[in-house]
Amino acid sequence: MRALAIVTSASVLAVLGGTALYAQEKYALVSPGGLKFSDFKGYEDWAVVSSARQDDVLKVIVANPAMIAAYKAGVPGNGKPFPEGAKIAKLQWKPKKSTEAPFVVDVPDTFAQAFLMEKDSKRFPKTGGWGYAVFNYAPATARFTPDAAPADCGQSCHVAVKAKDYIFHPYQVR
Amino acid sequence: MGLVPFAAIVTAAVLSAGAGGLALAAQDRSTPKVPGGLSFSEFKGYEDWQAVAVSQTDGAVKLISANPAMIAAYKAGVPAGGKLFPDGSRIVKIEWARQPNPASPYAVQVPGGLKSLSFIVKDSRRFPGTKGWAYAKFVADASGALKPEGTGAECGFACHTRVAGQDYIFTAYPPR
Repeated sequence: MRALAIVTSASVLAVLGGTALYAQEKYALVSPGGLKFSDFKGYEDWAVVSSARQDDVLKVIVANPAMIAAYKAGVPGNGKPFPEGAKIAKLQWKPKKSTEAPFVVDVPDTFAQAFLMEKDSKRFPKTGGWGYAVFNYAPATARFTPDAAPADCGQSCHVAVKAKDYIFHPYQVR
Repeated sequence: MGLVPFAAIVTAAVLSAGAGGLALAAQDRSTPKVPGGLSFSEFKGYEDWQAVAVSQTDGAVKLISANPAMIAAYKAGVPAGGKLFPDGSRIVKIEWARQPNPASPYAVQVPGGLKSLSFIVKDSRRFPGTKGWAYAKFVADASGALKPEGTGAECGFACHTRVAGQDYIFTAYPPR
């Protein structure tokens, strides 16, 4: 009986492990800077702004419908700022060489981070209206954790593109 | 009286500014068609499709996006376990030249000009000889106008047969 109980426990654990990706309530997380991950609920399905590559990271930049609509209306090139409620996410994967492609190409391996920005001038009056957060992803456990830094590079980095309402990436023509 | 020429000048300026901003969209994108093959208009709305993944070669940054039917299939676990993408699935590989971003605080490659758009569509009745899939590639010239590349499917099914076990699709939908 005891052996059966152990086997049963192991099975339950295996099942839990298999669904770990969905088991964590990632949207309950809050960054040290006070941004709720739940503010970005549904980012997995947002439309694409652009893509980018560092030596060790492949990136897709996506934005919520309000921000995509603003891009398409000419923001920030038209001198207008992104609207309140604009949200953007930079999704980062570790790269790997594709073993299948007929040419040499790097493709996503494991997910690494979600960099998030949201515009709310009342909440973030001192940083151009933008709030910043980073959530790190651990592939082994399939869990997110808020990055310890209040806003990673955040506003201090993005001030370099203040004239573009603090957003580096244009909406890439496609 | 002086208002008329002024208004005309403003109108002309607005029109030319508008034309400049729309230069890339000036081409009627319903027109390009692979000779004897797929028409660009079959992929209408691809600009707003969701990302499947990103990839990079020496010369290009690529984004792979799919229509809602195909994204839903990916999320349901296709193509694992031999499950197949449904008819109506459409996927595009958007290829940009890559360039450094001088404004960035770190070294990063970002998209430059659009190089090409490669489409795949599944329709088992129209394309029974290639497991339901058909291929088309459109290459952008310096002005951004799109032209079909040859038959539009140089590599196409021949290349994709090496991933027959993934219903002929290379790109996986990674967690995010």
